[in-house]
Amino acid sequence: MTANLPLMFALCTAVGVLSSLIGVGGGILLVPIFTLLFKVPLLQALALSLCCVLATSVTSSAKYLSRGLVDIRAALSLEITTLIFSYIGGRAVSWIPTRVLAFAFAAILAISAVALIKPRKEIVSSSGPSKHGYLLAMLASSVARSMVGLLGIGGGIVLVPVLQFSLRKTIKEAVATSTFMLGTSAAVALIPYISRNNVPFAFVPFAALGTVTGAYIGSRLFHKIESLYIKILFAAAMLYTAYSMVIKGLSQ
Amino acid sequence: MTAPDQPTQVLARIYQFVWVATIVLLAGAGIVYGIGHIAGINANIGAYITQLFVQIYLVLVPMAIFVFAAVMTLRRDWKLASTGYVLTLIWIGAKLLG
Repeated sequence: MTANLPLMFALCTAVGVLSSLIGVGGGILLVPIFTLLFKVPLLQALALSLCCVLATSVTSSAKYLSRGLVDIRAALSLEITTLIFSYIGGRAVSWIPTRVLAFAFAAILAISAVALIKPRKEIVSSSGPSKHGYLLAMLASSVARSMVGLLGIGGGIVLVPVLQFSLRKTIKEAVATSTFMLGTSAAVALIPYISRNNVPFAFVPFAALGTVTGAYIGSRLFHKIESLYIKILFAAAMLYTAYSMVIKGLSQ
Repeated sequence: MTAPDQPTQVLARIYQFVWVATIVLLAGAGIVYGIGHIAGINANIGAYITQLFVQIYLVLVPMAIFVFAAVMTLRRDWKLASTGYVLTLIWIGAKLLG
């Protein structure tokens, strides 16, 4: 074990704060950190990232649940349809070239980021979904998550806008519900890695403890930070992901 | 922000328990690995503790959803209860299929 473990802990703490604040897993940041900086093989880095997502989700969800910010009804319903339809959708979109998929996804993310920060009537309290809100949310999250599976990124970046726009949630409720859902998805996704012995157990305590610490700090800050700043942070994360997708598309 | 209802509070309590277990196990594993690293010995027990942490997640998180579904059954919210049970079954299926 030659990696700089205190550095891994510090970087994971920073990612944990950000993930907890904007409701994403953080895999898009964690996987490059593990592979490029700590030379962890890709499969092991993915497994390590999932362990971190789990730790972040449980830490933040414990706080968000006790504050009544998580819409469990929406989370459980979306989780089931997403698990089923993302498998079917994943097979359906597999014939589309990755380059086209990456560019399309980047465009969707960039447009959503602009829509998120564009001044408009603020949703100050959850007004309940529209007539077809749940259907729209299930469809959008299933299609988007089947795409992201092929592009190798997590679902949080998609879930938050889906919850906000389709189910008319406030940004804080959307972030809290997304964080809760990511934990359940990551737990299922981690199972094959454990079966194939791909989890680098030597790194897990330092990486996961880092994200747990970060998520704890983030969930404390979450209550005090203005919704506008969370929106700006999330839009920045979306634009960064869009940029990564363009780079990925160009390298194909 | 509304105050959480009783089933959500139960779920929140389970998540708080999982969170405390996480901190204890990860810190324990980290200390064992750290000591092993400094002393230059193979700290296998650290790996066992970490595996325990992962297994706790894989058991307790679906269990939390199952308990929540059971509470919803008692409250006669059939839709939410059945959603919880289906999610737990998907989980068990995924675990069995590996």
